[in-house]
Amino acid sequence: MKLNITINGTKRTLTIAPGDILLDVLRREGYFGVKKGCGQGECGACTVLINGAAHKSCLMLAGIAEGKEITTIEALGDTDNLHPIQKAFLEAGAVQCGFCSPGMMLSAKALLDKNPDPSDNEIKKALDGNLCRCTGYAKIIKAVKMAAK
Amino acid sequence: MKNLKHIHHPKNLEEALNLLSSGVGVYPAAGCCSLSLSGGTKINELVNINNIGLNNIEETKTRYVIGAAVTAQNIIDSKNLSGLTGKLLKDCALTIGSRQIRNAVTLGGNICGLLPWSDFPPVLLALNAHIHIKSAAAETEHSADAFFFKHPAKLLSPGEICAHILFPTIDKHHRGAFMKFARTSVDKTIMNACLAFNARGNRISELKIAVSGCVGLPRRLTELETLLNGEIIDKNLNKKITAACLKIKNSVDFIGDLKAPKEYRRDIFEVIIRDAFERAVNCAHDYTDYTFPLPEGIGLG
Repeated sequence: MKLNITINGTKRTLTIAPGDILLDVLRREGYFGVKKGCGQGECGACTVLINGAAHKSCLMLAGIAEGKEITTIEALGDTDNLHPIQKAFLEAGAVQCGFCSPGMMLSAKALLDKNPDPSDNEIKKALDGNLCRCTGYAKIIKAVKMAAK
Repeated sequence: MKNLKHIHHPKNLEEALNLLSSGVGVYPAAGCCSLSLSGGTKINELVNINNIGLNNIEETKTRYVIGAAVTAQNIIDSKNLSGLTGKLLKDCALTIGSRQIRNAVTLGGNICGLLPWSDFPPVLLALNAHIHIKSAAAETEHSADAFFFKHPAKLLSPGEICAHILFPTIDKHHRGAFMKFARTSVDKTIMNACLAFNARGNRISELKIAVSGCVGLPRRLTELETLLNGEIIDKNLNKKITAACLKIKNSVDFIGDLKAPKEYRRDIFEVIIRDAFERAVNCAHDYTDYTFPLPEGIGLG
């Protein structure tokens, strides 16, 4: 079946199987910043923004995303032109292995787009679906506060 | 879902209902969280109900009308939901998974799909909600008690969907609380409890207590309600709650699973119920529209 979605600002018509999971479709289309961690909606490495709200793409049928706007980490910036959130994560030391980072940054973006000056508790609540085995989270929270400024 | 052949995207409720009644193996889909994990070989076609007008939260003079496709995060963010109904629904929604999950989980899906860890059902039971069911041919309304008497999958006929959930307006003298006990803040529940009662005259009346996660199907604890209705809200209430819970505990069919064995759920039962009452008694401080004064020194210590 055909899937009509917008990915990172570009309208796309994709051919998918009805049972395809959104995570698999995005990676198949080359969006490797969307990571498969657990595949069960626990770790958040697969986080994408759908119409600006954070979702776990491993728990979503691709077909249900018909007509939606998907944002992956690739939309935030690149090595020559980093997004403020990416800069903040680097400056705060919030990236170690980096596997959780795309999902973390997108969850942070979803928060900051709605709440430009979040408290620590609001940051923790917004990122509670993104696990990190490396950093202990303190520097991630610091990075989000830096990006908020 | 290896038998899934197509996903439909109707533009309105009527079109969705016609699609749902068009054949065998046609099911509604909203957040799809549980569908993505569990699959389901019986599903041939899905009907996307996210864009057919079931996303609204409305307040009338006598009740709140919440569309089945309203997400947990919509409930948290809603300015239309207030008072005790709003408080209990938002408190429940805030405990559901993580932010990403709350953006996907819908009220209708949570109660109709009814997995052991579904969080909303005890709130519907404690607040005497009604579930509005529609099909292409008819519509009906079920009380929460009737809806959860069996698994909703057995109640709903092919072609029927939950369209709205209706919550009656609550008297201003009511108190209530929702408690979820889980291993982490984002984990699936080991036990949920929700209660609501009228505290007029400093005495418990119209008490409804509901649990889920620790029992097979969400249910009210009517035996406990009978024992505690009429009790005075004072420092002795704690002991009375504990005694009542111990009295009825053997009639509760606790379940065991990977999260916790049934013995553990049995052991925490009265603790969660007691904590819920304490939270309910003290909840006056959270509502600006509550004028009922608490007696001095109240606290179920």
